[in-house]
Amino acid sequence: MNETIGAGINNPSRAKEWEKAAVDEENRRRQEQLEGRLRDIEERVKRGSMTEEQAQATKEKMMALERARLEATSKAELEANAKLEIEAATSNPNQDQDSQSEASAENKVFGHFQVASGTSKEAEFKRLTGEDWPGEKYYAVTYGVDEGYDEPIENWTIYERPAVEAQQQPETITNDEVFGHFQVASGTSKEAEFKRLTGEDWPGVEYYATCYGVDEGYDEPIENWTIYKRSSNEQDPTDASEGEDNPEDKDNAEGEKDPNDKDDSKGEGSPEENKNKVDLGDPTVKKLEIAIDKNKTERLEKIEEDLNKMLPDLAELYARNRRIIIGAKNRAEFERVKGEYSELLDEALKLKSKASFNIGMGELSEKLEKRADELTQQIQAQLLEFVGGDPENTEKTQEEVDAERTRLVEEAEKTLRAEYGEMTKELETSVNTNFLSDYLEEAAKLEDATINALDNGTACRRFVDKVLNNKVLKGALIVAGVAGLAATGVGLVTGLAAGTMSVGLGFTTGGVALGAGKGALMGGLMSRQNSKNSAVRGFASEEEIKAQLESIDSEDANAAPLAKWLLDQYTSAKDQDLASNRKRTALSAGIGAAIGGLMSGVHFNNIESHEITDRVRVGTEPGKLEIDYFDNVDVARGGGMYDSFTQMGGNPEDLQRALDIAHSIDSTYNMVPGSNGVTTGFNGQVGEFAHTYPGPISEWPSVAQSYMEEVANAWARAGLIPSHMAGGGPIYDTVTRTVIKLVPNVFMDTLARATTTVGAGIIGSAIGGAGAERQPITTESPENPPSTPEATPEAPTSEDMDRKLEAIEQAQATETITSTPEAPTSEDMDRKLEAIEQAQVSPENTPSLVDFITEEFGDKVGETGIEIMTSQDGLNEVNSARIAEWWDTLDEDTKNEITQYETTLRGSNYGRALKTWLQINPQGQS
Amino acid sequence: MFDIANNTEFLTEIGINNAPDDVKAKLIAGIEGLAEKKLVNRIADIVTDEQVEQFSNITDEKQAAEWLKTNVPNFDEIVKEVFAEIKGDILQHKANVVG
Repeated sequence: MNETIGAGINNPSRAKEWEKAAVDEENRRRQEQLEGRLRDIEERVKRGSMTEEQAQATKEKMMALERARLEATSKAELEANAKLEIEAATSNPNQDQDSQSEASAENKVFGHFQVASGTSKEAEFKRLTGEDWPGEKYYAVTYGVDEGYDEPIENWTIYERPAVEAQQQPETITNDEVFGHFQVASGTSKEAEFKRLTGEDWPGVEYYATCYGVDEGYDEPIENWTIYKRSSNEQDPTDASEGEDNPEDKDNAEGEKDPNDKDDSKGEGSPEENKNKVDLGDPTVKKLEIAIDKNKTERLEKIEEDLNKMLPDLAELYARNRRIIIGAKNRAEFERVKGEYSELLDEALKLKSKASFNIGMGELSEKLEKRADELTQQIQAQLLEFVGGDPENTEKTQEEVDAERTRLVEEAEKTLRAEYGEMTKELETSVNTNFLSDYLEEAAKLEDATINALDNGTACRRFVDKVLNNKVLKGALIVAGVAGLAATGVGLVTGLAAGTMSVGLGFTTGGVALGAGKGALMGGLMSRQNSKNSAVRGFASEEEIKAQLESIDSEDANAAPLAKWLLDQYTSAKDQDLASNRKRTALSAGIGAAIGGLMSGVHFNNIESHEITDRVRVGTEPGKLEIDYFDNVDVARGGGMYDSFTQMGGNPEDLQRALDIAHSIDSTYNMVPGSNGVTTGFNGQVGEFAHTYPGPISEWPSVAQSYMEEVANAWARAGLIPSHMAGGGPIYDTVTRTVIKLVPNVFMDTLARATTTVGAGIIGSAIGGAGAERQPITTESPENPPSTPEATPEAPTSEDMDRKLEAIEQAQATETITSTPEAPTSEDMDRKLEAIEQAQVSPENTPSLVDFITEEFGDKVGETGIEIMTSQDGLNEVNSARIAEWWDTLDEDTKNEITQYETTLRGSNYGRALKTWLQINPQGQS
Repeated sequence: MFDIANNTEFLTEIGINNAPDDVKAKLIAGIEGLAEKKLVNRIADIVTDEQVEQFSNITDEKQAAEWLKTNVPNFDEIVKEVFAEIKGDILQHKANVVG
């Protein structure tokens, strides 16, 4: 443990500073987001996709939300400050003890500490409180894990127990039986919920409750509580005085008022003919619905649905990439890759379990509600029977009826609570078994992959093969294993504390992999949601998207030959470093792409991003998601780039330059940081391929295209991008193929080193943004799909473009082969690119649009319009407002044509669309 | 197999002791299968060519078991670690779900 960490965080004034800094940063970021969203709304109004009224209403809603959040933050801040004051007072040895007691009406924060590897929470707790874990006067609760460092760091808060709890509330880890769970939000109290569910006053006699976390991703924090039933020997004999409240005692007490007794006494003095008219009263059994956040349950249901779809996809993605890593001799490298997958799956399983549990709680609540109704009806029938079937003419007195009703209702409520306990047990068992089933399946796959990765002929491979395929040897392993377990005396590792043994599925891979894995998973979720949002907006119907998803099988058939080719390429690679590169880059690419998709979705979907973010936030560390989420972007981007660069022989300067470029693009496009993570990912993957492709350069554009399709298909299957993007949709078909064919040298030169180029940016944004909002190109209905080159005769058709591109490609290939028999240099590539670009925008073809660009920006970026967009400097100079201004001068047909080449047209993305359009249509004429 | 089925404490701790018998049996088989694979992978990392040859030639289960205990350094510890790893993973998830 780093002493500084522990000591620093235990210092209230420093903690206050840090908290304030974090809040300020969060407010700043939110303010920027809000401004971006407001700008976006204005853009929509300009484009006619939103009316003024809609815009105003949306703006007001957003502002109101922000105000509410700020107010909530202020309130939370005040509370936090108050707590810190208490801490400061507590830490003052001269502080009067009485005043301390007064301040600790609730559990108060005693201090915080962090735990990294090499230290334990128990030791840190002992050091700070002087008590052995889990403490008597104090106890500690974890409030999150920071994963963006070399190793995960756990954050813990130490609380001082109030006197009553110190006596009656046992430690968090307990062997007491779980009775049930409940949640507390504002407007309810834990005491009331506890009373309602157990019938006991807080903190309980037979039962007690402990808080196991606070979900802060909602409009208000929600506390999660578990009720335990005390083991009988734990009950404090001094509680006997409270026996008056004990339901059993009540029964006894009521026994004195046994209706039968009364019957007897009544029978003595009441003539049989003396009939009464009684009121059966209201026998309603108090409902025991659990305080479940319905919205949360709905969100979780969606998440679970997504995860159920994603898990097989992830397994598939894993299986596909596993083929890539087969043959890797570097075992450590293999383990790293294995760890990345395990973390991703781990995160998915966690989310799934969390979702299942909360959904189960919702169902449980409904069941209890119905059950209460049933019991009420049952009591009504019993009461009727009690009065002999006719309340108008009965021997029972009103008092007797009232007493019987009370007894029956109390009995029913007791029954209901017992059933609640049983249902909770069943739910936990169900969640546990489902999780275990998933976990065992996935963990076994990882072990299989490890076995498959062992090189044939090596001792370890031969050993594994022998043991697993030989009954005697396999049996021996088990016999020896059982003996080993007995010998170690662990009885299957008795005594291990939860969460202390391993991270993830047993492979500690460090913060980068963990963060990136989470990001990738979230990216997948987001892309799916984005796709749904798009459907809702009319871009594509839900049915269409479903059909596209279902068509993956047929795409598989088409992709099979390509997959085989890829496999052959990989398995035949003699250079093991090469194989390692591919594996590494493929992984970093996937992660970067997922996050890129995620961020693009957030950026372009604006309002919907609230919902999406809320959804993703569920199941992560309380209140940590957004921070993690943004951190992950940089982590993944850095990780992806680093992998690509170092594996391809890059040097640190290149890496720094690439990151600078990435940041530059972010700021130029006013993007949420990380939007071009997809760029990093995609160009890393494709660039790596280009770099290592062994065939002649003339082949690589078409090979790369196939490869990209394969990659895109794999991503689609993993839920990272909508499937229609992988199947050759208009954007993919035109933008991607065009860029590859037009500027292969750009790919060779820059993508091969995985720098963030504009060319790759187009591909990246096309794919990453595919799930995001896509402005309707025309007003066509789904039956009349958006404009394609075929649908707009004035625009070049696909065939036209193909012919044009093939001609360029052939010319280039010929030149490459004849003039540079060896691998072309970067300078060669630059020259060729320049020649191609000049040819494309030759003076006789110079269009009005290029004239416009040249006139507007020529003095800054050169003579051709294309250079504006292909030069980073040019990009930085292009003022999005001016482009938007220009955009407004275009007629609808031209706008439509340009928008074919970009999924999102917002702000300076006009520039990207324009650039693409100019490359495809250098005449600049529609 | 590794006789997990009779270890009620372990099954209770990982939360499946109350599961229906068929589900429990399937999960136990899964845990044992996973442990087996992990164990093989762990041992494979440390055996030499000669040891593999020796081991492969043993035809008696008891002798083979004895060989493992004699020739694989810290064999018992490895077994313990493998199960600890699995249990740790499971408990971590369990803690994550219901606190």
